[in-house]
Amino acid sequence: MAKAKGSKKKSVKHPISIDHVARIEGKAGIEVSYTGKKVDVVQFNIFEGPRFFESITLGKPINEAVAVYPRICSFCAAAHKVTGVQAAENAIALRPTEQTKKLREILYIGDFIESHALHLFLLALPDFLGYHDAFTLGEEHPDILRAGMALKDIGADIQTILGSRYIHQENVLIGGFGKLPTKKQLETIADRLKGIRNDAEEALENLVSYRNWPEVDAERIHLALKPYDDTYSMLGGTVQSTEGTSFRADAYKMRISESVVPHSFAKHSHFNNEPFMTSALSRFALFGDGLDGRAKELAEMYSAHLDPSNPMSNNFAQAVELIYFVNRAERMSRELASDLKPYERRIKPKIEKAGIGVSMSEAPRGLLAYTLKVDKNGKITAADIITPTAMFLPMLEADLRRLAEALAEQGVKDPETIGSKLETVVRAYDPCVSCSVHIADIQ
Amino acid sequence: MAIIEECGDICRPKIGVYALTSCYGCQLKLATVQKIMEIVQAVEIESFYMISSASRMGSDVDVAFVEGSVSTEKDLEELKEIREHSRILVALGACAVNGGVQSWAEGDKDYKKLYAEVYGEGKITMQGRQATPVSDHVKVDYFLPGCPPEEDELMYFISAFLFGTFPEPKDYPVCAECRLAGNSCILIEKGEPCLGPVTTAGCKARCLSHNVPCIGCRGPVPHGTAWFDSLAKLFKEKGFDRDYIRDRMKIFGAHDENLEPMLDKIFGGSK
Repeated sequence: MAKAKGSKKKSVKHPISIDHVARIEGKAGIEVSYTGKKVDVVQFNIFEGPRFFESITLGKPINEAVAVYPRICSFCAAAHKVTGVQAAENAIALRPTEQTKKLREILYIGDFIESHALHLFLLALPDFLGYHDAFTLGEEHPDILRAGMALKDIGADIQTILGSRYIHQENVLIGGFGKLPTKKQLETIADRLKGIRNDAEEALENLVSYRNWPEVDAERIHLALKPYDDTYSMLGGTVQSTEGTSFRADAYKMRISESVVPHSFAKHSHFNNEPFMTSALSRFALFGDGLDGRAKELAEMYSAHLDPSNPMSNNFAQAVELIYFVNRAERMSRELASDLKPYERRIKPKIEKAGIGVSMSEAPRGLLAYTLKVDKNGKITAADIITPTAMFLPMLEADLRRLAEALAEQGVKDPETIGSKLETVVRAYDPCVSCSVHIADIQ
Repeated sequence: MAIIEECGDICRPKIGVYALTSCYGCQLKLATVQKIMEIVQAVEIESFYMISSASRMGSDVDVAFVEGSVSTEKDLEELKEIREHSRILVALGACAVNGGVQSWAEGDKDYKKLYAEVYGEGKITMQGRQATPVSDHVKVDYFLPGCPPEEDELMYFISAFLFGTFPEPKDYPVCAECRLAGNSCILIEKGEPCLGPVTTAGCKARCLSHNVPCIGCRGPVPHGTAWFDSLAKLFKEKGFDRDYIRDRMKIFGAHDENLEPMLDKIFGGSK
């Protein structure tokens, strides 16, 4: 919706209403209303329709249900797939093999690389470089767009090779994979990742000339999953907060509460009744010490850009993660290629008794939680899914309010300037609106 | 509509890409096809909110691609507006074509029940609806199935419109492509619940090539050309019950009026 810069200044029109925020995943709008200079209401309206995933899968077979849940979102389909499958396996007491876990993690990294590349190059960078989309950006900076597409491609190809395709991977099943990649395929992935290291730094290189806007500076609570191996990963079993507390992922229902708000088909989440942030920035703030190599070096060099109090730092944190995960995926693929068991069979699920399974992971845009309950016939009896966007919505709204108030204070009146600034802050969160609208309470 | 003949090299066809309620995967697929930069040179993109701030509703387009099911009153209003302003409307992907996975409980639970199970007593000012395919509400000129659609089909559709010809829909099941791919039959050999016999082809039997039974993401085969005699009837023989096969077929085929008649054909008699 943001129009080209330099349009005629108008007197401030109240209220500000953006009916469709462009360059985000999903359909959402922003509404700000004022009394004089005072900001009354700031809402991030979610128009994306409800899809009732937890309700439509009740009574349905678990194998089919875990194939349906990833349809919640295309940008993080692999995140939903892996998290849902892990929850299902926990529910039926199935222990996947080490090889299966490694392959799933590489697949998940593929999703990170693809999703971060799409967000940074296609959705976010045009704001900073002054274009309305990546195509016009690409006409003048073909090298930037080429790097972004090359990263997107390798992320997508990892998911295609391991998961069968890069949106909605059907090869990822409870108990393992239908078909395993070959040694040669894993080596090719590793070689390609090695060749793309420079491109992985392109996003950060283009972002470092820009400063975070001080208007959205504010102390905040971050939550992130503690990496299972004490390095930096999206998998783990404990959630840590920047307040110093932690809780077991299994117990997320006790710590993260949800409520229905009138302006959104997505529920809003709170941690100890406080809004919180979950994002690449949260992971970095809590576990950035686990980074290594070039990512660690660059993160130290540009630490001023990685301020946990400012949501715009999330763009930088994603850019750092992109560098790290390209490297980690290369290492993991190389290792797995050398000790691949090509004939390892999928463990077929045998369901004999009822159970409940929980799984949390870090999706590209933050914490993702699944609880699945099955009966002894393998039918879903309850499901609960909380997506990252649902978790950070209250914090996002608080930041939009901060920005709107600061701009009012500064006397900024042009609704287009205000609107496009609000949109840029929304984009920094990398919201996944399709994701956000599928939350339910366990019964 | 022969866009190229009409326009010569003076004008470029206007394209709009719109979303109702969905996962945005079809648009993502469209935005990331290998030749996307060539496509954006050949057409004029009037609206594509997911990737461009220069998008708007209500401008006239030659071809509108619509992703998603109609799941809110706002979706319905927007769909009607899109139809009014487009010469050709393409239903893009499983949600637009078949109502999508969000229709899985179609016939079992109405909107009120779905709402109560998810939002409880909570009140939301916007009005939702039971998910329905786009063709329940407006005339659809072409259907491009898949969850998500295939890249080669997207390219074929776009080039067909550019060259003034018409894309030809596929009316044969996945089994045909599975045979060409040289797979052994996962239904016959392994007794897996493969929906290949009743699912529209076009994926080149990707899942079967991964030893994964077809989940039916491309939707029911049109014109009653499913492979009943040879294969679909095996569901019963392999020990799957009617309810299980119905559940599986409904993931992507809940709005298919042939669903129960097909189950009758497979399991004999009506329930």
